[in-house]
Amino acid sequence: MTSRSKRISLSEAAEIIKDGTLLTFSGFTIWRRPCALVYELIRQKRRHLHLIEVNSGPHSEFLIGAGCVDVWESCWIGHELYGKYGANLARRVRQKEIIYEDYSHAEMAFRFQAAAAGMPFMATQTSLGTDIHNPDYDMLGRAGLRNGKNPKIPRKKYHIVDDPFFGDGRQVLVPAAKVDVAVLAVQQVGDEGTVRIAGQFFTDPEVARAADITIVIAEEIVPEEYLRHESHLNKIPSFQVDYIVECPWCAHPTGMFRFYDVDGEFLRNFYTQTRSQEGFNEFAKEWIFGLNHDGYLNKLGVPRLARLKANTVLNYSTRVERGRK
Amino acid sequence: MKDMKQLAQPGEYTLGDLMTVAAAREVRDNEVVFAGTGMPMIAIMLAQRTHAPHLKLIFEAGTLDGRPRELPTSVGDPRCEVGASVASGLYEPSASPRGVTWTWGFSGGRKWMNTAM
Repeated sequence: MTSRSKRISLSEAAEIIKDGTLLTFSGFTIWRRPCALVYELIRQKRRHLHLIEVNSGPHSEFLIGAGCVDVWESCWIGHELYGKYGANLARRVRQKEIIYEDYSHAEMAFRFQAAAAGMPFMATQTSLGTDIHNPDYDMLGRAGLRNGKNPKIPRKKYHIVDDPFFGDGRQVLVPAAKVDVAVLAVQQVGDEGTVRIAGQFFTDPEVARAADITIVIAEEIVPEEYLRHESHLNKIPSFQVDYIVECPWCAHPTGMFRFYDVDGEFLRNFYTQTRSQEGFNEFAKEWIFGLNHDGYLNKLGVPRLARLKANTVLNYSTRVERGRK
Repeated sequence: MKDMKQLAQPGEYTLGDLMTVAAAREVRDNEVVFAGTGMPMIAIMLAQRTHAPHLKLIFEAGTLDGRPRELPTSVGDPRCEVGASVASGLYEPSASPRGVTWTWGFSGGRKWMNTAM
């Protein structure tokens, strides 16, 4: 990597993700998802995306509802206690408008581990005996996408072998999750790209290594020397990051450890409103189109954001209301 | 035996409450337990606050041996990380050899999509 500046804007970051990109994300369910960039992709009317990810959440519900996604490979989607499942994905699956491919949670984590290590597959015993390995549910295969035309799409969904080393029975080989672009939402990135993640790091180090291009959206860009002073706290090295964007509240309505909590009210309203396509279109008109990130934050308003702000000792908000009593 | 009048009487608790307490009573102190979002999380935190304060709680999103102060929204919540021995990622809990590391795995029906480990 040359010494060029990696710093770009949110809209420039979205332009790097072309139609048809194999895309993945940082975070887990409703935590640290790069929603600000996802909104920008929707504004730019990106199409034919192939999402491949660990446990999904609101960010993919936004993209799927907006018609940006052709293929979704994952193990779960929903809004945790703020919405039981991904209603937009469910609607588009029912209407045969999207191809979905199921793996288990552990299998998806292993698939990224394989891609991160440059290995073609990982071996696991998880999910043996379940319908995930039923050949009838190889949805990419049924759609004719396992023909080798796209070198990142594996020719098989999984492969079962007997353990040749210890005689420990059947093992499932799951293919590496090879992706074009990974977009991360994190607390801090250095101006050369070093990433410091506070709290659980989910599969962020793996997805950064698995992708050809890694874009890091951070709450703050900080001096690289500061992060290098205590390098044992850093999770992703500078050379594995291609572009950096500074964007406070980039994960809203999902949560950012130490910075802000999940906006449960926002997610509950989204889940309720977007059970129908008409409802999604109204949501997108109100919260995505015609706004930029500043406009979005302005619409949320300072009191709401202040309630979400994390207690800096506990790393979550003590003022936000969760659930119903 | 406690005075029966101090205990909850039939009608004062739901089937969910009963299941949660029953699950909590299954685990012993110092056991390693993998627990999911929802009812399993409540059961384990009840056990930690009663008879199993050193129970080793693993959440799939990456916290190992956490001692949350309050109920997390889900396994990815910063609330899971409070008091943890290690805060890590998805790979670490998934890659624990079954039958060796975990004594128990509790998963709720709410997570109906493929969280089977």
